[in-house]
Amino acid sequence: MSETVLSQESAAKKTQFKVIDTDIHHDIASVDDLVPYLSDHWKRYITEYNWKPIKTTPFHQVRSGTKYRGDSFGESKRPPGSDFELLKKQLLDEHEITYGVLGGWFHEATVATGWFEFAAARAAAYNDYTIEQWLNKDERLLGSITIPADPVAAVREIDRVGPHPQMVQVMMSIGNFAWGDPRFHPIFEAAERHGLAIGMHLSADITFQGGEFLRYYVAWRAAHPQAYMTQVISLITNGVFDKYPNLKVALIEGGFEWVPFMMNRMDAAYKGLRQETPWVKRMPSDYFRDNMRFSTQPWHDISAKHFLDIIDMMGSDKMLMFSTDYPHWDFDAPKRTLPPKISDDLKNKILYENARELYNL
Amino acid sequence: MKYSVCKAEDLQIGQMKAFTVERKSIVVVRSQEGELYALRNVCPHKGPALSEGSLDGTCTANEPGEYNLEKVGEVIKCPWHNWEFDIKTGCSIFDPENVRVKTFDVIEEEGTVFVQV
Repeated sequence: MSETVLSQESAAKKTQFKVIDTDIHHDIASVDDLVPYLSDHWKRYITEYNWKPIKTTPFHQVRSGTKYRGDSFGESKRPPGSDFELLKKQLLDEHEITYGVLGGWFHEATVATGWFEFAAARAAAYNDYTIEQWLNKDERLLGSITIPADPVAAVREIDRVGPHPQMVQVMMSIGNFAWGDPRFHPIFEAAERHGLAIGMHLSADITFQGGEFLRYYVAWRAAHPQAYMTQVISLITNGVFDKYPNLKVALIEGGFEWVPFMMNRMDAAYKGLRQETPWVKRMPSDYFRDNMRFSTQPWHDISAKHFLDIIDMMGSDKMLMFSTDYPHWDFDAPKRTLPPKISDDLKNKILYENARELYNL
Repeated sequence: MKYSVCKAEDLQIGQMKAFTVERKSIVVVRSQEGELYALRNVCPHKGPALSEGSLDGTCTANEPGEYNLEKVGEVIKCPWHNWEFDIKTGCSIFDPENVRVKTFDVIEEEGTVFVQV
């Protein structure tokens, strides 16, 4: 890795930007890591009944450990993201991250379609694991609250761990249901009450409109933005931002070039179809600009001109936030991602300021 | 200039190792046939060391559903975004004309591996 470090150091000599990484996947090595945080009742399912999360998406398609950066297993060969010291060295220190938002990789408890009691217990155990094994070890790390999809249990969990000073958002993992549905609104109410943002990140469980899984990982991955479109459409049309105008939603790892397209499409439809959802008081694009933020990874190697055109079409330079997606294979490094020719002001907003404002840092 | 980098026995079939020569990081690879190849150890995309990735084969096909395994042990996959490079030419598999890594001559003499830089 010596060459990598050298090239990044030489790049850094231009202007030093502070960086907030808005998409880090810390992880458990196995569900055994949750055992210390479960009650005696729920412990048994792991220690005696050998319960394991259902794995739905077939990863490992193009090399060993496809899902992860090839250099993220470390000498201990622990599952990537499960070793605090390695993450600290390989991400926080090497890339000089000012703050890193841990989103975890425990969406299964959120998208589970039943047995919400156990899902709630797993989510709570994962949150306690995150606090004790990660947030307590490094002040740069910020947390996301994992919740079960059952709104009553979710609110209970937000009330329990939301006051922790390093918890900055509630993670609403994207599965095959839309979070704008009124039955989920108490979750938004709880987040707003605690001054927390909402994070949305895809789970491994998403399928696609008209195509289910699409057969191949490369196809499944290409279609991810579809699932994010479903969520933002659901939030707006169900009046979430009219009920909770201060709520901010971070859409993490779902792309951003499609955002101006959807802003225009929803505005155009609103003009004629507004009567169906009269509780939506503003033009849909206003909610995009005021209430939503989008992370930059996976970066698409687009030119500075095309990138600036997209920002122009969004009508705001406050909507994008840098992210690495460490330790996943499509990692973006802070010094090697944004087009070099954009202004320092815009770089600062994307690398740092927009996330700082969102998370009140 | 010819630089000795290691003993021949330190690079077994299917192995790759990184060396620094004249401040350049170079990855030296021994193929399944026992031949040695050397490439610049930096992915031209985002810069990680290719030696942290995997030495693998790749697939071709003419029809959907077909998989022809080729170049076994002759393709380096970048540890980050899986860009594939042919160890013999340094050319990428997806765009061999335009995306490539520099290659260097390697010589094995009397049990020592030399790289020409």
